[in-house]
Amino acid sequence: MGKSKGRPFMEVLASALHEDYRFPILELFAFLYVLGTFALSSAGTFAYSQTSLTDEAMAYQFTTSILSVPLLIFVILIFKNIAYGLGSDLEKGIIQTYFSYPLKRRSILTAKLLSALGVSIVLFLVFQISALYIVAPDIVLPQLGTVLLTYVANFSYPLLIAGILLLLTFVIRRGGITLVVGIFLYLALSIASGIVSFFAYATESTLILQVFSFLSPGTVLGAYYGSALNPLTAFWQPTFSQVVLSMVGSYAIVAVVFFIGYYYFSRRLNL
Amino acid sequence: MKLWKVLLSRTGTVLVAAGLALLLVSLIPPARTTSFSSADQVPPETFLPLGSSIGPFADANITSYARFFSVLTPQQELKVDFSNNGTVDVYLLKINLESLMNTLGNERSVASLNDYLQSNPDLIGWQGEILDGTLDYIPTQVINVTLLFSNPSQNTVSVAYDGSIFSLIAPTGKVQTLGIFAIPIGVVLTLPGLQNLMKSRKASSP
Repeated sequence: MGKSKGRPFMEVLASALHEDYRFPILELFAFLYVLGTFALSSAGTFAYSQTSLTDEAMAYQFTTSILSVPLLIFVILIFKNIAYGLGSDLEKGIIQTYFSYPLKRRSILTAKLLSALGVSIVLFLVFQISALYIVAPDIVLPQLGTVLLTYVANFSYPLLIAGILLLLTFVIRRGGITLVVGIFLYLALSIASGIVSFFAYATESTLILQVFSFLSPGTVLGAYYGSALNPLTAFWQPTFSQVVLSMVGSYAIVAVVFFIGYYYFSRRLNL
Repeated sequence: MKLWKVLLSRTGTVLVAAGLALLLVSLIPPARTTSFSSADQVPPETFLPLGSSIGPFADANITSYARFFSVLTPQQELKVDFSNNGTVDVYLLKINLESLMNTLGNERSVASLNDYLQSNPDLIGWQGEILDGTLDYIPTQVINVTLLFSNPSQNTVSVAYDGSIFSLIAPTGKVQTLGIFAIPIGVVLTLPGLQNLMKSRKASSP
């Protein structure tokens, strides 16, 4: 039974992988990940007087310093896969071909998301962690947990926007428009992060930061591992349980958005 | 084409792309951020930490050394050229000068240094016997740094040093080696897929 269902699932997954990563898209993004991680990182900026930091804080600072540009490249790749890839499948009626497989709709969507998100995340993490290991093995290896926690915190809001894009793609069924909306949402959330930080700093109120951390738990993690460079740490020193709470809350929101997406695709999407 | 061949050949092409990016990264030259040079006399059977013989702000080079060369990160490379009139042991210790001097007190004998290093071997980042030579060091973590000369001989040794700190994107040697290995491995992995592609093209051509 499992075997008979597994084969069509693998066929849909292989087809989705073929569509999402046509030659040389995967190679181009691999090239950009490596180049972006090394050449466009801001790792040199935390150079001085950092030996006062704890080992965890140092691992956090180092990881975030090489994260910014590759994360943007990662966001572009997953938005392309979801908005453009899935949107085109809906637009051109390719998705109906998948419905001819002896699979439930949710399994088809799982295969599409494994291709769109799973491969991108694996590729991203492999290159990032390898780069961290190449540059500073003695920072990364003893603090692998902190490094992974940093990635988990920073993946949350791209995944949230990816979930929103998934819903929009099902509703609008136009890849191009959804892609633009996704990029707009990503930039808007980045700008909102700056405004929220400034507002909190001006009013010395932590409430707005705590609420915003449910959308972007990277904010609370940054304050937890705070350095002298982070002005928020002057009045906000969150505990580790607050960090965990924000992450759980954030991923709960992501899960709800994806659940709605699954529900809509399985029950409401008329093709 | 079989799925494993597709996966293998795509892994190969990704490796080639990553290797090319690594080679490109290795071509970006390091930027010199700090330089220092000076000369010292190391009396017999004593050691001398760099920057400890002259008071703060007395010498521009030493001030520069003390201010900028107390911490090294994995993205900094330290290069020091030595020109001495006798052989000295050069140590790069992962401890700041102040802590080292607080631990050792006013004792400057080679014996006390050796005792200290024997009980703290993990503090030695680099060591070597140098008459004329170069120290080239890239740390693998953020460390406090103290350079010191130890003179176990019975004669005073004059040491002259000329050093620089370079800001790196990544350790050039490591990145270059990885790139050089990744590309041929990637090409080999791509071969079965490439062979199949050529076969199918031949079959489809009239």
